[in-house]
Amino acid sequence: MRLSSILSLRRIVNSGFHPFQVIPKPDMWRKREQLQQFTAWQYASERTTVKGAYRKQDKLFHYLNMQREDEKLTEKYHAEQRVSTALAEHDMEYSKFKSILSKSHILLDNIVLAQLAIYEPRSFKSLVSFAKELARQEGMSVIPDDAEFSYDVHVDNSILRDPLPRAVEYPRGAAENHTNKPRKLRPDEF
Amino acid sequence: MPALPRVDRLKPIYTAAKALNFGWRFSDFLKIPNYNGISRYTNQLHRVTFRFCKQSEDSVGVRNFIEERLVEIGKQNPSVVIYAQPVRNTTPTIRAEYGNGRQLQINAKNLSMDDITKDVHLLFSRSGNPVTKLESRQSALVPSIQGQWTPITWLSTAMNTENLPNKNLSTFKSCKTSATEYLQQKNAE
Repeated sequence: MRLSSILSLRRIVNSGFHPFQVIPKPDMWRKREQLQQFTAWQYASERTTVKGAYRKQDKLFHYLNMQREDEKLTEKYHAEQRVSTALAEHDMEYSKFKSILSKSHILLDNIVLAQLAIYEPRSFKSLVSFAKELARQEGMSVIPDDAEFSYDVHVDNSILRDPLPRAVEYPRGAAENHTNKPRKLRPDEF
Repeated sequence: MPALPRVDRLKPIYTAAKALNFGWRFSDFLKIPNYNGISRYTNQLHRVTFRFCKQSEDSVGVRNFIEERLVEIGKQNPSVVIYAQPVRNTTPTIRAEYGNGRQLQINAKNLSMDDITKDVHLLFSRSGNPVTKLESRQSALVPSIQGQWTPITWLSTAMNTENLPNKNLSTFKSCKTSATEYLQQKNAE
């Protein structure tokens, strides 16, 4: 705290208090503390200086946005990779497995299948054995399970039907090209 | 004078950069306090306080609720302590205190008796945990019931006593017949 020479007014450094401004100065400390929540992890001047921190914060917000957009796709990609790896352990092919599941109307997503493979390995193995037996009956060539870990599967071909139609995903936000007008509706679509 | 800051200015950088000064996350998995409901269920609500005015029109709903429905609710939940506090010149509120120390306050100004019944039922059924957006639609106390996959989950026990390399374990498994197998089959015929 420093007393000014003539007026003897208290002056607290870096505070929002101003002795003569009726409306108080905006509190800079609060803003900078909130900024530091994002940039405390950075190195050098991006952490120590305010200007560098603001520049970095703008970049960080862009990265956060990119990650949020990519999250959905990357989750699906990783789930598919995990499922095909888990199937490889049980000597089953991904394409055959998925086709059997879709024909038998087992609506399990890749994400859920990956979670089963990791946290409920026996359930996943039973699904694989089920799919293998059906694939064998369908005439696809499959590698049979080891005798030590095989499940006793009794299932008939007749449960397989046409696959259910895929769910339509309506993406959020405006269409890619807004200059294309939507087509005119047919009378039967009214 | 500026308002007193809530965060200590001398905190080291990494703690200042951590979560905000709230005691909760914006999005979180479902949480149960103290494994409530696994073997025994205890109501997490400890105390309910009804603050109301005896004269004003805003507290009509609260007054009616206290007259007609409060006693029955109290009898149904004997573990919960209920206070009715007549206070002059206040907005009527319902304050709830929970086992984890958190408190909730509902502003009951101009609420009808039915609205208050719904709110009170909500208070009685909540644990003190804050309302957060769900991270995932699935939640469980235990990550795995059958046991998480390990590299030895599906490993044959014969491997414990095997001398490697082993011919049987080294066979290449394939759906397609190899050239050797095809010729062997042909010869067999």
